[in-house]
This record gives sequence, C-alpha cells and structure tokens, in this order.
Amino acid sequence: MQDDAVLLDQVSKRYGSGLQAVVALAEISLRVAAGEFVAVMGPSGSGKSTLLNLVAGIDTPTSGRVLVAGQDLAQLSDDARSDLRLRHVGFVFQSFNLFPTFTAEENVAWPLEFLGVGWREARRRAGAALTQVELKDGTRARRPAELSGGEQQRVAIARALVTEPTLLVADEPTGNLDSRTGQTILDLLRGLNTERRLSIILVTHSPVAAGYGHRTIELRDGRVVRETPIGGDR
Amino acid sequence: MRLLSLRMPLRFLRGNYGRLSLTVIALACGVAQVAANDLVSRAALQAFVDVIDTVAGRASLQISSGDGGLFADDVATSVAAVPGVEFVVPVVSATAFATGASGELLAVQGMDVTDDKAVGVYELSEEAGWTFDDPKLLLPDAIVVTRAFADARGHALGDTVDLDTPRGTHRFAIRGMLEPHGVARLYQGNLIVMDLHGAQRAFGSLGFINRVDVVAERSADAGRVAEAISAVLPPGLRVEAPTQRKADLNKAMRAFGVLLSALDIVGLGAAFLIAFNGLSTVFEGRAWQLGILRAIGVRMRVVWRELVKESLLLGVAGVVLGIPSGLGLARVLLPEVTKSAALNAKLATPNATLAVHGSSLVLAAGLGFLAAVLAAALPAWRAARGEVVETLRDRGVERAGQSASAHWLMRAAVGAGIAGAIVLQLKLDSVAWGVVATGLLIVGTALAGRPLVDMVSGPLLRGWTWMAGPAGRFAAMHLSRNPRRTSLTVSMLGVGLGCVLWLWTVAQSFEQSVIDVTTQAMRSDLVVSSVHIESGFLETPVDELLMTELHDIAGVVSVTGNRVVDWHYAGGPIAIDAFDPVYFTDVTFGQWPLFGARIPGVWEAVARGEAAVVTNNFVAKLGAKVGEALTLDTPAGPLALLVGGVSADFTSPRGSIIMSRDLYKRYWNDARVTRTFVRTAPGTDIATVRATIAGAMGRRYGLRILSSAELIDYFASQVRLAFAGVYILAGLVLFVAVVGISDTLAAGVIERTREIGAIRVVGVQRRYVHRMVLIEGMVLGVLGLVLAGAAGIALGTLWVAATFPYLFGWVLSLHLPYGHAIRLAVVTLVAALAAGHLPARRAAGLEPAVALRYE
Repeated sequence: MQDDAVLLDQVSKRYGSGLQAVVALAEISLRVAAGEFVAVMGPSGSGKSTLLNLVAGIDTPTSGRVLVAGQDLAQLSDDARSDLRLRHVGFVFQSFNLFPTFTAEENVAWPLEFLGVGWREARRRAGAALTQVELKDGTRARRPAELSGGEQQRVAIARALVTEPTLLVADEPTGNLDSRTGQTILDLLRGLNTERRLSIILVTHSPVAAGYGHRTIELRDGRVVRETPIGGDR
Repeated sequence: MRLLSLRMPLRFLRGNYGRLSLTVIALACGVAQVAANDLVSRAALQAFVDVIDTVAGRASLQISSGDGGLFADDVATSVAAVPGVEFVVPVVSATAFATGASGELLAVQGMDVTDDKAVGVYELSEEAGWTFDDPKLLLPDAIVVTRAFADARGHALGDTVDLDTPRGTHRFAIRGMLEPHGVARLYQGNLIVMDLHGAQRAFGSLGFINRVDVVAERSADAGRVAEAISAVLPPGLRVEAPTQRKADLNKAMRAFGVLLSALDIVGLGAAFLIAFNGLSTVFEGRAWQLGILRAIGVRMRVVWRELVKESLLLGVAGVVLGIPSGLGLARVLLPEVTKSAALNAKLATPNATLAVHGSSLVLAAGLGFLAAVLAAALPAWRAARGEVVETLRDRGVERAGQSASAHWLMRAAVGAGIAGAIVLQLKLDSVAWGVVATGLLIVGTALAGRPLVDMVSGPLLRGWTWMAGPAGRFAAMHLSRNPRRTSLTVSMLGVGLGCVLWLWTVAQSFEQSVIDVTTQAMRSDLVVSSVHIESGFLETPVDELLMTELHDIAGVVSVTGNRVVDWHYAGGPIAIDAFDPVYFTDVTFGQWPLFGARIPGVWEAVARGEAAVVTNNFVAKLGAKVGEALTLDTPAGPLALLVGGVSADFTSPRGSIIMSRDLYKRYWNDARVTRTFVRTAPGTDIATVRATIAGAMGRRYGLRILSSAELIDYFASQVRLAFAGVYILAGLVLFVAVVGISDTLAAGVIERTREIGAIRVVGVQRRYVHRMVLIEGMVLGVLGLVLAGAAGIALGTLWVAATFPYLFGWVLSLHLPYGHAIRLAVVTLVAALAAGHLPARRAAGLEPAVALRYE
C-alpha cells in the first residue's frame, strides 16, 4: 500500500441529478505503483479527463476513495489538497496553459515561489528544469506566444517537474503537437520515469503514445474495459 | 510566495497595462477629488479664520450689534469700567471702494489713532517719515494706507485719493503708511486706518460706533469678563470672543464640508464601480489562469491575496497620479469654493492660499487604496473560489455570481434603509440621516443596474435589430450575454450622471426659487444701489439722502428704500429686510408672496410697524407662529413684533424678518439704504430716467442702476456663482463616466477578439463590426441615462425637500433642470460614441487570421 502512488477504490463520478444525470466514471478501482508509467486510453467522453482530475484532487468523486501518496483525498481540506498537489503532483495539460504575460523561465519558476523558495534559487532551479527538458537557452526569456508548440509543452513539463513531484499527470500532452515533436515529448516523459522513478499517468488517444507506458488502461462509458501490460524496454 | 512579494501581481499586470490604465485613471480621479475637496475646505476655512484673528489683533473680546448696527460710543466708556477689562478700543469698521475701473474693496478701521495702546492692539507699525503722533491725522480727511496700497497706485505721503463711501465719492489725504504687519497684512494691503471721528463723519454718524474691541487683563478669565460686560451692555449688543466667531464660521463651513464630502462619496463611488467593473472583467478573463494556479497547488486564499495585491498596485498608481492632480484641481476649485462660502455666509471673499496638508493627502490616498482593495476583494474572491475543473472547462464564459435572491434581498434592505433614513431625517430634522439616505440612494442606484439590464434585454434585442440590423443584434446580444459587466457599467453611469443631475436639480431649484420669489417682490421700474458689493452678494449701503435726490429726478413718481442687514435672534444670525412703509401698501413696487396663515390686513400692519412677516426658513429653524409675538434685541432696546405671515426670501439661511424701515431706523439708528426702488410716471421713457440718474449722481455715489429684471438676473447669477464649483466637479464625474464606458467597450472587444475574427472570416465587413461596437456604447449610454434620470430626480427631490434646507437653511421649491438634462444626455451619447471609437476601430481593424490565433 505504501508503494502505491495512486489508489482508486470503487470510485464513481456522476454529473447532474435525476434523469439529467451523466455518469462519467462508474465504480472504478485502479492502482498505480510508485515509479509506474500508466497510459489511459479511450474515446471522447469515456471519463479519461475526469479520472485525471480526481487523481489530481481538483474534482471530487461522488462515491469511492482516491488515495494519492497514501493520503485519502476526501479526508483532506482544500488547503491540504492544494499543498499535496504543489509538493507531490505535477500536472501537464494538452493546451499547455502557460501564463501569456510570463516568460518561459517565470512560467516554470512560479510554483517554487509558492513553496517559499527565494527568487534567485527558484530561477536557478527553473533553469535546471528547462535544461532537463532540453529547451534552448535563448528561448527562456521569451513569452509563450513567441515559442513553438513543442517548446511550450517543454516549458509546461518543466513547470510540472520543477517542484520534484512523485507523480506526474499528463492530459493529452502531445494532442496539440506534430508527431515528431510529440515523440520527443514522450521520450522525455519516459526518460523522467526511468531516471527519477517518477510515477506517470498519461491520458491519450494515441496508441503510439500509450505504448510508452508500462501498462495501458482502456476506458469506455466510465468503466475499465481492458488493462494491457506492455512488456520490454524501448 | 512571501506575503509582501509583488512579483506575481506585477507579472500578471504586465499584459494589461492599457486595459487597467482606465481603472487607474478612475481611481486617480477619485483620489484627486477627495484630496482637492479636503485641501480646499481647509484653505477656505483658514482664510476666513485668518481674517477674524488678524482683525481682532490682541483683543480677546468684541462687542457689536451685528452688521452695520451703530450704537452710541459711550458704551465703550461703561465697558472700560468693568472689572477685568484692561482697556477698550471703540471702532468704526466700514468699507470704502477705490474709484475707477478697479473698484477694489478697502477695509476701513476708524479708531483713536492718538491712543498708543489701541495702535498696539492691531500691531500697526509706522514706516519711516511719519508717526501716529502727527496732529494732521486728526483731520477729517486724513487716512493711513498700507505700503502695498500706495505702491500699487504710485502714491506717496501727502497725495490725495478719491474713495467711494456711503455718502458718495470723497477725497482723502494720505498722512501715513503702514509696514506689512498685523492688520496691515490683511486684504492684500487694502486697508485704510483713520481717526475715529473722521470715520464717523465719512462712514457712520458722529457719536456712533459699530464695534468695541476689548483687551482683558492677563490674569482675568475671559469668560467671566464677557459675562460682566454683558450685564452692562444695552439690549441689542453682544459680546463675543473671536474663538466664538470662529466656531460660528466653522458651523457655516461645515455645510460646505458635508456637500463636498457627499461629492467625495460620488467620485469615489464612481471610481470604485469602474475599478470593480475593470477588475471583475480582468479577473474573469484570467479565470483559467487562476484555475491553473489552483490546479498546480496554490491555496485559494493565496490566489485571492495575490489578486488583491494587484489591486493594491493599481491603487498605488491611482494615488501617484491622483495626488498631483488633486493639488491642481484644488487650485482651480479654491477660488470658487471660497466665493461660494462667502456668498452663503455674506462675508467678504478672503484671499485664500492653498496649503498642502499631509493629512489631506493621506486621507485621499487611504480612501483611494480602500476603494481599490474593496473593488478587488469580491471579484478576486469569486475568481479564487471557483471550482478548478469548471474554471478550466468554462474558459471565456461569465460565471454566475451571487444568487438572484441574495441580490433582491440586498436591494430590499437598501430600499428599506432609504425609506427609514428619510423618515428619520424628517422626524429628527437631522442632516446626518439625510446624508445616510443620500449614500443609500447612491448604493440603490448601483444595485438597480442589473434589474434594469435584465428588464430591457428582450426589447433591446428586438429594438436594435429593427433599427440597426445584424450589427444591432450582435451588440445587444453581447451586452445581454455579459449582464454583470453591462449592469456594472450602467450602474456606474447611473451613479455618476445621476449625481450630476442631482446637483443640477439643487442648483436649478435654488436659482428658480430665487427668481420666483423676487419676481413677485421686486417690480419697480428701476433699482438703485451702490455699485460695490460689501460682503457676499449684498450691495454696500448708501445714505438715504440718495432717495431725496432720486425724488427730484424728472419722471420719477415714487421712491422706496430697502435696508438689508444681518442681525441676531435666538442665539444665531438672521437677516432684517426692512422696506419703507409705502412698499407694503403700493403693490406696484411688488409684494412678497405669502404662504399659509396670515393675520388680517397683514401688509398694512407691517407698514404701520405693528407686525412683521417672517420667512419659511425662519419658521422651520426658529419655530415662529403666525399671530404670536417675537422680541428682537435692538440697539435701542427690545422690539416686540407680531408675526403677521410667512413669506420666502434668500437673504439669510437661518431666516429673515421683513419689516418696516421706519421701525428699523428708529431702533437701529441706521438711516442707510441697501437698495432704492424707483417707479416712473406712466409713459416716461425709463432709459432716459436711468441715464439722468446716472448722470446726476451715479459717479458721486458710485451707483448701479438696474431694472427689476436685471436685479433678479443678478441674484440668479449669484446663485450660479455659488454653484460654480459644483459644475467643475460635475465635469470631473462626467469624465470618469466616459472613462468607464470606454473601459467596458475596450474589455468587450479584447475579450471577443477571436469571435470578431470568426465574424470577419464569415464575410462581415469591417464597417459592420465598427458599428456594432459603437451601438454597444450607445446602448450603455442610453441605459445609464435612464438610471441617472431616476437617480437624479430621487436625489434632487430628497435634497431640495429635506436635506438642503437642513444643511444650508434655504427652503426651496423643486425645479427639474430639463435644459441641463437634455444637454447632459446629448453630451453623454456623444461621449459614449467617442468612448467607443477606439475600441470600435480596434475591432474593425483586426485581421481575421490574427484574431483567430488570439489567446
């Protein structure tokens, strides 16, 4: 149990009530071990993003339990869930979600500032994170609008990594990228998984992207319809 | 993130400088208004206090009988014998005017110039070349002037000067000059000192004075000395300390203070609404970014705190811009407010100097910060507390605020508060409750914006579609799709423009009330008075000999004199408005309107000196009743008068007594007239009579000869003058309102950049996009005007009917400023078009491809 990065126990999520109710997730149970790279697949509306939101603690289940790093999210206050995210969970979005008025470096450094790290140290660590995701030096003072899609996603990943989380949740991180850039990003994620033993939950439509994980979970209508372990190193 | 770190807010503000500059301008306007009003109030009060202090010199007590009231100079002798009195200075205090175009007012101080102690009281110091011992100073035409007066006119010792006095133009010889010390510093050096007897001859009557300055012994208690003096004074005379006069002045200035504070509330309220609107829009637009902050793990209250810090930065910018603007505005306002205060209190306008008080600036800055932070607090909380998932999902959609029932509950509470405050004001005669009702009405106006927008959304959509086709439909749809922002802008316009209408309603009601009353009361062919204004709006009195000379002019059939003088009754100031008896019996001179009950044959009784008519503010303030007697203390003893009826006049805010001038002359020893009404024979050319009077005695007496209509116009112009400062502030409020419209339209265009790009891709021409934004501006302007009209009428009615009479003492009838309202509507709509021009150009100029990529 201690080694589980994420544990979902009979988790359901329903939106609305009565006849209007929509079931996004239905009694899902799932375990992600520490250091495991899990890909979640499924068609649109299958509940992938809902699953991710529940794991990140930005949404609450209608029933069931969600444990992250051994902590039951339902037992935590909003502030405690925020602290958990800031310290232990990195979040990568499909649409990057970088702040348009911040430079690349500032976009990476700001979570550290909220952890109480001084600006100079935050900047140094942001620089290191950007180096880790192989963003060119000359682009660090640029704003998101001046970066390519691939560069923006590298910045977004650097932002997710800079606090050295134990869990990374990524919602279609290659969905807005061309295949070559997407592949680079996926290589980067797998590198982080193997080198830092970072647990990753990757939501994707792409079987190629899913192939980078240790295990693929397929959702349909809010239920797990298939679990496929992927063997061998790539 | 450290508590005081501004790094995050600065980064977030980076991309919004242009957008938020309008919010900063609005805050700066509010700060400027508060700073200016506070500095101006203090400077104006200080200027009046300086005059009192310097005129009093070392004197600790002053004895007088009110404005122009002469009393026998042997009073000084009996006062000098009172225990605790060190010595006394009998004074004739008067005004003269320089002849010629300048016509400057000169303060005359007649005193015993051979008495060293008297000279010492006023710190008069001689220049080289003469002394107060010079026997020539006792000559009736001898005067001592200040160095500033002499230098300005190139005079030297021994030169002669022509001055206008109540008895006409007289020539005086300069026998001495004063260093700029003590009283000589006053009135920019426009001071004339002369011997008591000379002053009595030229400005009063031999044996009579109008003031005794008392210097009490150092060890004596001034209060006890005053009591002892009161015991020996004849009726009608009163003793008071300069501190008491300052307290009275403070009271008079407090009314202006309240009015200026009410305007501060308006200015800050409008700034608050603009800042609230601006920050709501910015935070709304950035909601997804706040969602990211929350998703990555920043606590809700930390997000809120960072947003509030942004508002603090805007507050800093508003204060930095607002303080210097406030100093500039204060310089513009100071002469106007001083003039208004002098007119209201019937005092000479002092030379007020603006002094920068740190506390005024701190107050303005503090209120500016408060407005900025309060404006941000709710939008920031709304933005910070949003569910992260919804925030990220509903990017670009206005989020629901408080529930409609909560809003209606708030509106009902404010409505009940307004009704309660009005009832309490009427029951308790309290200005404070009037100000509370005013504040609540302003809040109510702000809250009425949303229901108005909801109510007109449907008709608006149909109406603009019918009038302007698809552009009108898009405009109306956009406004109704963002009801919070639309209603905030409408509320801001309603509050700002409503307050402009409110002030104009009060000004118009005052002016028209004065015109209505004086048109009935003053119907003679000509009104003759001094060309000089002594204090406030009252002309300097002239000797009644003028009336005899007017009688002798060919074509004149009847002349009647009027003396207007400040007096005291029931512990405060009132006015005596005394007319010759013929005025009351010959209606061709005009007749004061009577309201309510009256005794039979009221005007005949007044003419006989048996009764007097009091004004409606006298009744309201002092509780007089028709048929009852009131007793006035006069220099000649108590005067009991039957209250014969109630009229209206605008001479004293505490009320006036209209009485016979024969009675006045007898009891006040004053035979001067403030105005003389002249009737001509039927068929006489009035212009010829006017020219004859001017030729025969105009220059000698320094006369102004007007028709009744011109005199009434003069009164109206004085009212306009008194409200001049209000027009400047109204302009400022209008400017803030225009900034608000521009702000909202700019926000709408920026937010819809992608949408506009899509419209253009479909093939809609630039001019339609341009027109769409302009229509939005027009719609906001029209809705704002509708709300402003309702607010202006409500506030105007409240003030005219209740608050203004309690605050200033004037009882007015309600007159709505239709002309001003139409002009305001036109200016607002033109301003709305102008405010929409830049956003419209930006929208129309967007390249579709660029707009679609806009993030």
